[in-house]
Amino acid sequence: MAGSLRLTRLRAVLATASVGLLAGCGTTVKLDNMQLPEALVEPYPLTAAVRFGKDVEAFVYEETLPTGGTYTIDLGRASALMFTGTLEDMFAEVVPVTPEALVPEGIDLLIEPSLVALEFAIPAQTVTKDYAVWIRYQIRVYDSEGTLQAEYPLSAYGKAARESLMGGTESALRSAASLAIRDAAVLMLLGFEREAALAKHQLAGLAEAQQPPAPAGAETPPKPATTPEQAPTPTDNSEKFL
Amino acid sequence: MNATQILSRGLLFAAAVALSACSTSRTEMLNTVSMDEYDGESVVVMARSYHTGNATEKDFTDCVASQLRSGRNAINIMPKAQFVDAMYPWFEPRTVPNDISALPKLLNNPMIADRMRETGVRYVVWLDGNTDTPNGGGSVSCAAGPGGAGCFGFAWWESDSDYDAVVWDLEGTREAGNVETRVNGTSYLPAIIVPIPLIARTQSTACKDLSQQLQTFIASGA
Repeated sequence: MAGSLRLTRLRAVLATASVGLLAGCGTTVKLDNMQLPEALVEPYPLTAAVRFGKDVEAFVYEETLPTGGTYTIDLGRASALMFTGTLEDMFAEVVPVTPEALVPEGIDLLIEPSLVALEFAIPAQTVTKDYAVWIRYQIRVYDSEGTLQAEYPLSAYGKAARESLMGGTESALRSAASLAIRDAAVLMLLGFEREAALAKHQLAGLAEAQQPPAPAGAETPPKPATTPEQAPTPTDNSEKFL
Repeated sequence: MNATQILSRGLLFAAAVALSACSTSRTEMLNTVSMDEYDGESVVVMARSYHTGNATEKDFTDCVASQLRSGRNAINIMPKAQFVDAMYPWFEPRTVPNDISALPKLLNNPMIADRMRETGVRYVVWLDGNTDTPNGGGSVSCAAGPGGAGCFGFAWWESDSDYDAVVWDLEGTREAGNVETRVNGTSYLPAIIVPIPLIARTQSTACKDLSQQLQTFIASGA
């Protein structure tokens, strides 16, 4: 009887150990917190609304490599936090809106980031000690009327080395993903004007329209009036802006 | 201390010497300009961006920073992450100036120049290079059975540590000096029941040599 009990316990221990070993074949990276430093940039004197597609916060990437091992990378929450924080650095005021919401009153533009693709590489693939993560976002910019003004891809990259030979996969992948999100923030901060080509005349026009009234006699550039009829189609935008 | 203790310490020392493989190193200071007297200003040690293809290991950068802040000519080192965060987003892998000629344009922005002054950083040390294992050979096999376990065989590999350090003087917006170090060595792993690693620590030697030269250059202007 005692021998049978010992055997049962031994089986239970072995089963637990097997489950543990099998669980060890999977790597999960989930970034929930993405705190970025305050950016040294002059904010546009504009009010921007930010609306995330449902795909952003719910985005979870999963891949089983042919060499073995399943990787799950969840960067949805971190991406949303990154965009919110970055846009707060870029604009005088940022108004978050829900995915279903229409363009709110009193804003100058609405920015809608989507997370469209993620790729990663492990040392066995890069033939180095490095883990790499690529993230591709799509940025859509609407004016205050809700007309699409620009759409462009934002491709970010992060790389981090494994710190020890016997492990550190999750931590290295997490560092690479974190660097990729930070890279996206940098691209958003410094490339927005150029990429969206909102800048120059359109953004500047909007910004000047928000300045205090000019002295009498001075010419004030008119606020760009874009009607849905005049607005370029997304295809036109890609030709014009990218 | 009795004779047994002396003997055991002697054997331990002999074993430590025997277990170190040989390596050769060369370090030289190039293109230096006269430096102002070092007055405790902060220095940041950074690796060149991976966007330029650089692969300097994080532990090498940490080693150089740690060596520079210790010893007789200790230098005031600001942690890299703290500096990068303070200057965000201008010293990120994608935006960091790769050449001294890009620095004046960056510092023309009063917001960036003011923040740079606030950090108190006078010099930036840029590290470039890495440690490679270009050649190796042999094999070691290990087996275990009811009667015991053991290894047998012989393996060897070469290690080349090749690093450059460029010192930027932010106050004068100029390149103040350039140190190069090359260390190569061969490690051996003979195994007769027990593997005995004879490791050539080329990266660690490169770190010490480079740091010593940098410390002398920054602290004493020599």
